[in-house]
Amino acid sequence: MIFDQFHAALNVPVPSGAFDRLRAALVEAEPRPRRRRWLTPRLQRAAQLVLAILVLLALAAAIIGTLVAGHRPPIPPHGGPVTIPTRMVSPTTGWAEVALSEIWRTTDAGANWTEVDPPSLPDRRPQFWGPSEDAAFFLDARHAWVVETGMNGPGASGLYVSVFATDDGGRHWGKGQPITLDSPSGMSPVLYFIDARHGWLLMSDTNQDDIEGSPILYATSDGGLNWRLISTRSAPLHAWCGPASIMFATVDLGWLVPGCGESNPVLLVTRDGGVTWRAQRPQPTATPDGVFDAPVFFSPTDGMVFFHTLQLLLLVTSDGGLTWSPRSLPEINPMSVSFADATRGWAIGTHVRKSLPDSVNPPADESLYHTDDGGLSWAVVPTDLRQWTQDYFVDAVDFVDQKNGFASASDPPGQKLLWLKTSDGGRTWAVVRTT
Amino acid sequence: MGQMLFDRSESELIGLARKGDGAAFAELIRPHYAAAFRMAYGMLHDSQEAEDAVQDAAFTAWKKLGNLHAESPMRPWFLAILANRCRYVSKTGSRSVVSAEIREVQAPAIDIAAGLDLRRALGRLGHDERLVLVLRYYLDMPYEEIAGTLGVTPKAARTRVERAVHRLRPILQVREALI
Repeated sequence: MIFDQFHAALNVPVPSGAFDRLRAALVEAEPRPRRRRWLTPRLQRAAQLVLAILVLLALAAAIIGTLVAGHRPPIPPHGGPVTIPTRMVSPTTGWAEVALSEIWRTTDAGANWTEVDPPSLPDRRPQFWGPSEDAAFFLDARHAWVVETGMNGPGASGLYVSVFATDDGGRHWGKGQPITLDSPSGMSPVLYFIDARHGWLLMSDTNQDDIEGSPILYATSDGGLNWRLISTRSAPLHAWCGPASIMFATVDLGWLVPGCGESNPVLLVTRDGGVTWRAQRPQPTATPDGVFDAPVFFSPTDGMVFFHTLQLLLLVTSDGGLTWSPRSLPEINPMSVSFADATRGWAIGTHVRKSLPDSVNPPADESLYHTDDGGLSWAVVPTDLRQWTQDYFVDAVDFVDQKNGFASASDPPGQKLLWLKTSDGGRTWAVVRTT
Repeated sequence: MGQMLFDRSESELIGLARKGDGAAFAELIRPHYAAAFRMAYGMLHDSQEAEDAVQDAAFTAWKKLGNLHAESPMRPWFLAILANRCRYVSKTGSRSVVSAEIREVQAPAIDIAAGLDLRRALGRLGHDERLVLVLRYYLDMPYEEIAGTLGVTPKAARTRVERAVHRLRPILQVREALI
């Protein structure tokens, strides 16, 4: 529906001849042949000598600057919200993938970071749509995996992927056997592990001619060293319609969320480790347009899934996803919700307004809620969070257990970031890092 | 010449464009022109300014073509340059967004008041929020392509879209309340 509103409101044809005018301007602006050099050979040699000296001076300055500056700070070059950890796995340890295969790790709740990249493939290719955080998976403080795409590497001809794995927090990385692919273009690899040994690698060949792509699912039971083909589009993944999220609750029970668009929200469920899949369409609302997040499971039976429409909806299951029941959420929006387990969760957002706001500045009525009954009821948490985030939007909360949690906030342009921590269930907060 | 260029691969066109062939660069832009124009219109709400912005962005992209990685797709790279151009136009333009959007009402088959209201609401948002909404709901981009255009992760792109929808919603609610 919101798509229709935008299309109707902004409905305008491309002006007649617009592209031809651009083409003519480009052709007209083609550079003319360069003028002949006016320097004599002697002057040219002198200029080259001066240039070489300047280059040497610049190199020396760069080296000295690097030595003085010490380690590179964990601020990504593109300025995105990636100083925020991709995943905190404990009250102190977290991981961030800030660029393709550029992995950072913190052991002090995000205050300081160490770069722990896997060795790069010699012929590495970027992902088609750029780095995807799902191309890395962080299980706990020690175990992580990163998938890279290469072309014509050792032991592989044509396009292939290799998974790098670490079991010591990124100090050492092992390389899995390459998986050769037939794809003509980039892949969108998605990794998921349930323990140190069992994992899945979902890839979809996406390009601009075939945006849905073709899914291929592999599984490993030796921590990523060897992978076996589980299923492809041709048979069990018939309901596929685009790049997806994937998760597994056990070695058998897993979920896949294909990117079918708001008009066709669907979950795919497997109960045989990914060999066969069945479409499931929980109906969380009378107007079903929206998208599912990947479900989250806290045990083989207890799980939840969020459904995004213009508001956020929560569905829970206590029978391994056979049935889903809606749960209430506070009347706040936008909302970030984090559950530490099946019963204890936190939600933060702004109270839904009934009148036109005076400005688009960060709201002053952001509230933090807590539930300890799986979303049946919610209560406001008395918190000092707002005093730290007056000029910021709180984008997300993330609780790793019933006491320890984190919050990320950004200023309205999305350029300044704030990373905060609580150790008492959200009552008091401290700024860990800011940009 | 145009027909010959039409038959060339993208990598061949990039090679020619890097050597200064404007017609070759135009062929690179051709498949993305409509999307680029629509994005610029969604940001600027003025057909002429949108066309000018796309043209300016095309020249910038041509100059920076050496920065385009061989394996990177053209469209998100070009749209990112265009987004920056629209940001510049919005900051330096002398017109007001509201006056421009009123001038551009031209959709007889739709609810004009609703369209105007949505454009006004968009005009109250910041550039970045307007951009993600236009990419998502007007250009129908998947989150991964929005991420490629913004240079962020798909998850971050989704968060930005949801936040922008939230900011847009109370502005629109005023109209809903008045009806």
